[in-house]
Amino acid sequence: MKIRALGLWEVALFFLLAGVIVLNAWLSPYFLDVYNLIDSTFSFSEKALIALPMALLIIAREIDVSVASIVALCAVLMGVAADAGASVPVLALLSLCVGTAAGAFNGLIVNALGVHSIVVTIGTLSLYRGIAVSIVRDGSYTGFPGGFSWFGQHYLWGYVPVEFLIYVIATLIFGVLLHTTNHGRRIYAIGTNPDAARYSGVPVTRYRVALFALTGFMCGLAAVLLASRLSSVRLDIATGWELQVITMVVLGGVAIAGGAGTILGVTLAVFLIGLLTFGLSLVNVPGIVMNIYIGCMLIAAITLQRGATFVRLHLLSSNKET
Amino acid sequence: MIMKISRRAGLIGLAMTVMAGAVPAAAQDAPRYAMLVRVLGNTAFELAHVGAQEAADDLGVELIFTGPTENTAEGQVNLINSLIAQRVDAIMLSANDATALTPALRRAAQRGIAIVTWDQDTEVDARTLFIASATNELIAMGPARIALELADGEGDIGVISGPASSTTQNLWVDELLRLTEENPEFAGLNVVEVAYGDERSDKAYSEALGLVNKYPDLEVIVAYSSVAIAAASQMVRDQGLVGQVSVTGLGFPTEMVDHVTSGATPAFAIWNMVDVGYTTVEATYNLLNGDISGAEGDVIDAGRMGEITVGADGVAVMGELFVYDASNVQAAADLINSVSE
Repeated sequence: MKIRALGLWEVALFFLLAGVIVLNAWLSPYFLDVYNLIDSTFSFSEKALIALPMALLIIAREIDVSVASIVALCAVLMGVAADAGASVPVLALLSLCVGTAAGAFNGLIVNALGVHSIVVTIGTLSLYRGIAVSIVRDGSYTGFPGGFSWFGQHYLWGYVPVEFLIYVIATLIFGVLLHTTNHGRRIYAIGTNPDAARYSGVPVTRYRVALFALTGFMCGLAAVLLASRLSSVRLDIATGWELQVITMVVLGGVAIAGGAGTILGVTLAVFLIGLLTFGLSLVNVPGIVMNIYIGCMLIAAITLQRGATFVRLHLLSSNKET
Repeated sequence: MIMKISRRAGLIGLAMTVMAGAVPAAAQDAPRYAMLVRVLGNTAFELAHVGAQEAADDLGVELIFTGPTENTAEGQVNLINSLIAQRVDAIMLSANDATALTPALRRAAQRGIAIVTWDQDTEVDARTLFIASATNELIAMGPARIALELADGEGDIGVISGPASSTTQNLWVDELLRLTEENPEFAGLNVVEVAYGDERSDKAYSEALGLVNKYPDLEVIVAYSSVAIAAASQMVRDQGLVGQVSVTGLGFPTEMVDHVTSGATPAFAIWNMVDVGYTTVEATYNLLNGDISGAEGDVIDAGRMGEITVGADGVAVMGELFVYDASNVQAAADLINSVSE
């Protein structure tokens, strides 16, 4: 029953994605071009990396709206380190550590204060971005070492962007983690009913910190890719990403109230938004109008999600055969 | 099962409706130039669009006007990628980050797309030409020349800048000071004080008032800030000083119409974004036709803007600022109001 209901959402997304591909191909002769499609992944790979742990957080009834600020903080600190002459591995490691620490801090505060994570992370959204801005001010960091551009600009075997490959591997890892391990089952349990989970021996507070730290870690990874791709860090880096990341997750069918959602759904939503945005940009639809389309899609998604729940509860149960 | 199928159909229908607003791009043989601005919805860029469209129509070029919704390098990089994918002939951009666009622009150049910057430059080797509206010296000189005329060749002038921390505005003021000290043409101008209006009307207003109170012989207030020029003009009108103290500087036609007609600001200067857009398209056309290569000394045939010589590093400077006075400010303001609607 549960699996069937979840499958419905992914099937819907799959058809929506197919529709977007057909429409884009019809709108622009440049859409169905292998090189163009490959290059279009650059515009969403980094955000999609953050959508993965965000999905886990939202399934566990938490949310982190400070992700873009964590990315900015990591990127700025990498810029400072690069100016001081740090090597490529040191820069990457620094970003991952700073990200993990910032995420873990979010988790610890949520546990300590016992308030909803949206309140805490709205605070750290300003805090982390504020620290980043006070360091970079109105300047920019551009002194990254030569090899640093490998993460965000290199193509493996001439075709596959490093960024995209990292995203694909991360998706597989998160998929396995959420859907096949005990940890995954506990995350669903926490999201379905935190108290029940706690009484059945799930260390809820520890999971919470771990999930926030994981989100921070992925933000650090995204910061490496983004700074490498742009080879420049300014105070406005990653502006507005938190909403785009949450949009991917919610459109992917992750229930905002927790307890439900799949990595497959999030992946489909990532490609749906990525290809829709890319297709519309090929016919030069202004970004403001594009936001309207994505907003409509999100509202439609939530409406359909509610509709699906209604169908499951009222229609399917009434003519139950078994 | 029936439920599922109808739901799928519904979703596809939704996709169709959602997409219905997008119009297919007409396949054309005309060369396609893309004008990429720093951010959409900015009046200055809308004006550049007007000029660019004028040149594009004259030259038979298809113009694509685009820009990100947020003024970020990421937004521009995404758009550059999409323009590469559309195989446009040229990308003409006002860069919102000098270095972050370089990798994307390099890839565009590798695919044979001409890169021309205007308004704000990128790294020199990421583009072929940079159409600069003016140099810092020319920007300082525009209002200085008006001030010279208002003071009949010599007199005390007070300067109002933006915030003390603003690098560009301070460069202009430094250039002005250098002009009055080193250039015999401007030697008659005696700068009594440089005040900072902080881009706030009230601050600029009181600074301007302070200048006229402190220096009874003050003839002209020169404001290198659109906020300060309007505030100083208002002060002159409020104090009944029209005719005794004149205001000039850098301002926007829409904000200055009343001050010009009242006589507080007989004339002011600003770069004309319509001309910048026009010149950029003309220069790009020259470049793609092979008339110029972007090398130093090349001469751009910029249509109604005359000829412009390319300087070092592929920088082509359009020339002195455009001067607005009672004869043309109303028309300019009307144009700006029409594009910003």
